[in-house]
Amino acid sequence: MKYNTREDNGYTVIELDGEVDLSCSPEARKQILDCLSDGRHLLVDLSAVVYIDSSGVASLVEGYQMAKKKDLKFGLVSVSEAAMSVLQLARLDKVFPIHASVEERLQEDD
Amino acid sequence: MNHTSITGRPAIEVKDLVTHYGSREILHGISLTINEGEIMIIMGGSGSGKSTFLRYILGLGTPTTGSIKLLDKDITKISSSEMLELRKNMGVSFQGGALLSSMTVGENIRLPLYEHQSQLNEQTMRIMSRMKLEVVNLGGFENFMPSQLSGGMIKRAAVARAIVMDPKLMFFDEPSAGLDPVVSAELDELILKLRDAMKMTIVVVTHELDSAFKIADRITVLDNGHILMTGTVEEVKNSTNDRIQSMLNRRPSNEEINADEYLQRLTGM
Repeated sequence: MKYNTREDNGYTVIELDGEVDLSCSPEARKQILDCLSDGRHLLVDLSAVVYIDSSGVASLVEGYQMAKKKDLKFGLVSVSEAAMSVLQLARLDKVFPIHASVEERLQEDD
Repeated sequence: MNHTSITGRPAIEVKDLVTHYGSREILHGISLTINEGEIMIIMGGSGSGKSTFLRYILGLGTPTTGSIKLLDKDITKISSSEMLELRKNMGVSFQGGALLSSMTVGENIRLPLYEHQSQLNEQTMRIMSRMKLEVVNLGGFENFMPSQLSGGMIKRAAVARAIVMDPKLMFFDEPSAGLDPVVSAELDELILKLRDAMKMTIVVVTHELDSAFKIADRITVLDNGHILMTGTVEEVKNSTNDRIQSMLNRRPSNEEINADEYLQRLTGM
């Protein structure tokens, strides 16, 4: 897994890339929770995720919960088909705020 | 039945597998390849050798001859530490559930994580185990003891434990046994979802025809320790083999009796 972080209109966007599995999900978790701990609004871009396992999804769940507690904005954007099918398995597609793109999320915020 | 996640790469390759129970030969040279992302059903009546076959591909017995490759590793040759590593990629749903009665459902499900993935944060493990409970429709039952669950719920909790590490290879031993038709159909759906979402390679040992026809990519029919055939649902249904047709039509087989062998079995001489 690789990841890239950028700022976009008041959000930090973390782009996850490749396979998010047991070997690297602790790193993804750290990035997500560190960002929220700093009080930043967060979008996680999953467009380049070819595989995500439960530990990766668990990191997203933990992030969303933390964002809610701290009253920060959170969302998943450009979710790849592979990632979406995993979210659907635990019906988490109905739990996370999911957006087609960062732009779409920004429009909703307006 | 074709679907997109079968890659054509073998996940399980069994060659010329011969096994004995004492002096009696049980499997007589079984060869079978199961591809990545495929649901393979192993069917056969009692005594066909299907449970024995499962036991050996799980690495729970040493074959007399032959090789068994799981994810490119020949389990008849690898060291016990390599086997332990391989087991992280294997999930098994046993017939009786096999939950530990002294632990809560949640602790049972987290057990493989504590054992193999201790680098994970405790909260991550909790979320992973709760997600799997949601997947098997047992959300909220984390703090129940196994004794407080029905048979069907125990079975589903056992499936949650088997998939908690997202194994590449998943084995089900008689998943429908003892379940009511609705729960049994739910479990079939779950098996299909695991293949499609998690790209798992799945081996199901069963004698339930309806379930097998619903979920199989291919079916292997075992009989008396031999493979009668391996094929798609259509190929099995259209088979002209008498033994297969007897099984499909639930007819008792009128096997010819070898008088000498029969007498020998009765007298032990």
